[in-house]
Formats: sequence, structure tokens, C-alpha cells
Amino acid sequence: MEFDIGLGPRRAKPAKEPWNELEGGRVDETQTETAARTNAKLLGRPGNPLRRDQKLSSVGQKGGAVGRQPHPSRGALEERETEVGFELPDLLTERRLGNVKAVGGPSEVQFLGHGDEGIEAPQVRQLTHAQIISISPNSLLHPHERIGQTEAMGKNKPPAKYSAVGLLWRGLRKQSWPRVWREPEFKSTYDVVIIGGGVHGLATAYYLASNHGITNVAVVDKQYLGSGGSGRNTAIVRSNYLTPEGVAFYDRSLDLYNSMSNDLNLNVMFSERGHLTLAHTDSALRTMNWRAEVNKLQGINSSVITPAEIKKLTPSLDVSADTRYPILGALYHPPGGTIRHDAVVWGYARGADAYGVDLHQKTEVLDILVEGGSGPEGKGPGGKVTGVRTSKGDIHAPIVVNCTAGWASQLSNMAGVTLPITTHPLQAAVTEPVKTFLPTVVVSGSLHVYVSQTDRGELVFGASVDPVATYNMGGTLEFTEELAGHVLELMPGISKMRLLRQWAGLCDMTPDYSPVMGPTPVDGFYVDVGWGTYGFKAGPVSGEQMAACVANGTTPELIKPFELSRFTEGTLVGEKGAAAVGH
Amino acid sequence: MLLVPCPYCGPMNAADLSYNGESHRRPDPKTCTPEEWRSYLYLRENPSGWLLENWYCSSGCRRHFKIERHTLTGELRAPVLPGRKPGATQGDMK
Repeated sequence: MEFDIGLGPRRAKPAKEPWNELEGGRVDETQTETAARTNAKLLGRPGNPLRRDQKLSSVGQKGGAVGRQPHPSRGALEERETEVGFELPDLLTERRLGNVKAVGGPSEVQFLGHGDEGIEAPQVRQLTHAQIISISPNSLLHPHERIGQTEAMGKNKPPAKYSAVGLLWRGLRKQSWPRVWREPEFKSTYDVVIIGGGVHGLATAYYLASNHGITNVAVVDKQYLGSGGSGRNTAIVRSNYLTPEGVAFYDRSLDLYNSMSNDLNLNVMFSERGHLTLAHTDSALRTMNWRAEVNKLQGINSSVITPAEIKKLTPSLDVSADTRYPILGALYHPPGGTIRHDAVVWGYARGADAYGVDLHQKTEVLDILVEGGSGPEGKGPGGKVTGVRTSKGDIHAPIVVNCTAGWASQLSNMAGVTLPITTHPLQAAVTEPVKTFLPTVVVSGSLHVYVSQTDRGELVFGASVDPVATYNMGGTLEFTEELAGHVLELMPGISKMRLLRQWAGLCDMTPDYSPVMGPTPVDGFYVDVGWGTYGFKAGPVSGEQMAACVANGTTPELIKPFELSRFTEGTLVGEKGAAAVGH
Repeated sequence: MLLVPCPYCGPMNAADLSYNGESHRRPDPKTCTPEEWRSYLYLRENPSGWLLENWYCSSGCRRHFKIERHTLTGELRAPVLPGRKPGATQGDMK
């Protein structure tokens, strides 16, 4: 039974601190050596376990080196864990789903995917490297791509499943959890370099590998994965936007979030609890009605409800008429909710890593190398990207994707591309945990605040962006004061609650509050930036679309309206429903 | 809290002023192309460092002025009055 695929060397001894295991990329050298030695020893032992699927492939040996050859760093693990496996049911399920595809005739079944989880008869033992079976990701590839992939087959497979059986097994054997992604070696050439290891960058890498078979990809991040906006947002997702472009886009994102736990096999704790946007003025109520109608036309579940209905949904809100800003109604969006943002980052990182994508943390991009452009040093429009210069050395790549927030302008300027972006901090705060009392996500545009309660019981508050553009992420007293006042306006009952902490994240604001996605005047340099205050909601779909854009060389319809050229052509997409607060 | 020195009113809380963003030259609307005009309208350098900005003293003297501000540290240099060129040598004001 295999629980980790695409992991770094395994620890020889179980770690005493389980939380250490969650942080990918930190492998100390002694452990690496020990693990490598153990691996070598185990690999040398005659008679590796036979897996059930091997019986299915009668000419399995034909596959030889291209089959399930154990990855050098994982050999021991695979061997040990295949002692318990549950191959057949999984294979049958995959087949029912149409994911298992025979390649080269019925006798030669290709297996690339997670066929190696589950329970297997421990007494059957034989060499393992002969199976060639292929499931979903590769079945999406074109034939020529599939051929090119075979060499790396042991490496390019979706992550193994976490399961209750596995949990029990590990618990009984007191096994530690392995690292979730590798710490790859620094290579000087990749097909695609993605700058930014947040939800957007990792999702792009994941979908490049899973949907398009492009796995020679590096994701570089200045700090650790998810250290920027992906770990700082208030984790709210919704799709009740105002423009048809925006609605279509975010609805796809919500779909992906819905199926994410299954796709990534990691519980992202998506809580579809309903989203309320409060209206305190007649004009706000009119806008809510407008948004509701636009949403209904697009097939989104969204409607305007009365104060009485609001009270029923969320009893802690003060809907009386004698407050300073009485609540006149609300836009109710049942599919909206919250999601655990770290899990989304880890899920995509784990998935991308399993496909063979290299995740380089603590690797700062110092320059983007461009040739033949019209600007200084051959940069700027008309040029062609040749790679990036990082703090660990140069990487040569024909395609560079800028998936950063906060530093999008800086990085694009390195390639000679000027963006319509200004960077503002957005502050958020969280209270001490209390018993659950707030069943919905509450947003008030007029009061510049949004509130949701986490599974732990903390109230998470967010506000609009600070008015002055800055890269400084320090908190301000003005924010705390204003926030407290406005929250108490909505929920007077929580006046005794204490704030636990506050933080800020950087938001790249565009003039029309819509993102900038797709190609730029510099050939091979793509951007996925300008997400303002709502990048997290759009992470999965933008990753999917950017991957399609990079892989096919054409901009998909869904993101066509958001190209950089709209600013010079004057076709802006005014997304006033963007963050629901501040504008 | 960011204290912005208005050349007329002295140090003011940034919350009492209007921030009008990056200051750059407006092209002549009669002669420039639509692309140039839109670049002027939308495109921004957005540096992490010193930046010349437009401010409006909305709850004070109601006059416009320019000032150089460091976008990472929040340091401010002396405000620039109309008709003068910005310079880094005027001494830092905080």
C-alpha cells in the first residue's frame, strides 16, 4: 500500500514531531543518506512483492525499464508498502470510470496512476518493475506525448490516496507520515518555469502536468509554498459576480473546488455554508437585485432576501431598523462558503510533485532573461523569453509564467512589460475561538467588512484594501478600530470577544478590478496576475485555464476577456462585484 | 499611521488626505495616439522603492502636491511644490 508518491527520501526513523512531516522541502542530509542506504539494501534483496495487477498483464515483462520501476528514492517505501495492497477493486473502479486504458493491445496494460494503494495479498512476491498500466492523466495525452512520457513513468503519476485503512495501518505500525513533496535538485533547463508557489502557480503546474502532460516544469518561490496571498486570504469562495465574464469564470472555479477533495485526494474542508452580502442603502439593494438577475441568467443560485429571512439564517445579526446602517436586505448565495486555503496549496503541490514537477522553494527570481526586445537590454515588447536568473542560478526555459501577487509588477518589469497594477495591502484579523454561532459568511460592502467563523470557532474578519499603495504588510490601529466598530454594528453580541491577531496580504489592484491573464508582448512570457482581493476564489480555474493557454499557445475563451491587451484596446471588464467591499 | 507632510498644512495623517497614485506626465491629448493615452491612464511602474506620488490635501488646504515616498518602508521626502523638480537631496522627512 503506498501512501506517498512523489516524496523525497523517506526518514529511516519515524519523526517525533508529526508537524515536521507536513513541511515539504526540508530534508536534512543525514536522513537522506540513511534513507538512500536503506533503499539500496531493500532494492538489492531478491524477490519484491508481486502486485495483483501484474497477473492481469501477462506480458508485463515486456515493459521492462519503462514500467513501474521504483524511483531510486522511493524503492524501499514502495516495497514495504506494497506488502498490503488492494489492487483489484481500485483497478476495476478506474476501469468503470473509463480511466484505465489499454495501450498497445489488451495484453499490455499500462499503469501510470495510483494503482498501488489499497490492500494486496502479502504472501505473493515477485519483481515489480514490469507493469505498464495507464490511467487518467496519460489517457488525456496525445499519442506522441505518451511515447515521450514513458521514460519518466515511474515518476509521473498522480498522488497516491490517503485512506482510512492507511491511517489505521500506520497507526498500528507506528509509522510516521512521509514528506508530501520532494526537495528537487536544481536543474538549469525546464520547459516551463512558473514564478510563484501559491494556489495559482501550483494549480497551473498541476494542470499542465495532469491535463497536458507537460511535466518538465519548475515552480520557483522566494519563500515557502503558500507564503503569500494563498496563506493570507480569508478563504471565502463564491461565484455571484456582476459581469457575465466574471460569473462564468468563478462558477467554474467553484465547480473545481467542489470536486477538489476527490481530485487531489486531500480534504480541503470545503464548507458550502451560504454567503450573504448585506445591503444597507437603497442603491446597494438595487445593485443586489441587479447581481441576482445577472446570476440567475447564468444559472447561479443567488437571490435577494429580506431582513426577516436574514435573521432566520443568521440570528446573531442585528437586523432591527434602529441601527446606524439598518440592514435592508441581502444577496443570498447558498453555494458560497469557505475552504481551507493551506490544504488547497498542499493538495496542488502534492499533485504537481507526483507528476514530476519540481517545486523550488527559497529560490528568488532576480531577473527574467529576454532577447530581441525593443527596450533596454533586449527586453520589452517583441522580445523572447530565454529563462530566469534566480538566487540559485540561471534556469533556461522558453516559457515563463508570472503567477505572483504583490510582486507581479516587479517581475513583469524585469521582462520589460509594464502592467496596469498598483499594490495595496489588505488587512485581516481573527478572534479567539468560541462556540459556533455564525452559520453563514457575512459581507457588508457599506461597512467594509466580511466575517466568517472557522471550524475552530474563530471569527475571521477581512476589510477592503488600504487606500495608499504600499508593499509594507504591517498592521495599523486605524484598521483594528474601524473593523471592531463595524463588526459590532452588525453583531452587537460579540462585544466581549478579543482579537487574537491581525495580518496583511498584498493585493495587486487593476483599474477595472479584473485580473490580467494570458500572453504579453514578450514572446513566451505569460502573466496570471492582478487578482486584487479575490485571487484565492479563482485559483483552480485560473490554473486550469493558464495551463491550457501555455500548452496550446492560444488563449482559452474563458480568459480571453482578461488579456493584457484590453488596456491598450480600451475593452476593460468592470467587475464591480469583485470583492463586494471597498468599491 | 502614515504622516504626510503637506507643504502648506504640515504633517497630516494620510487618512485625512486623498491619495492620487503615481505621478507621471500626461501626454498631449490632441496629438497622442489612443494607445499612448490608455497607457497613461492605466499602466503603472508600481516600484518597491522610491515613488513620486500625487496627494490632495482634502481635509486641509485642499491643494494638490507631489511627494516622494518609499513604498516599502513608508519613508517620505520633502514635498514637491508645483513648478519644482523632485530631488532626493532635500533631506528625508518622516
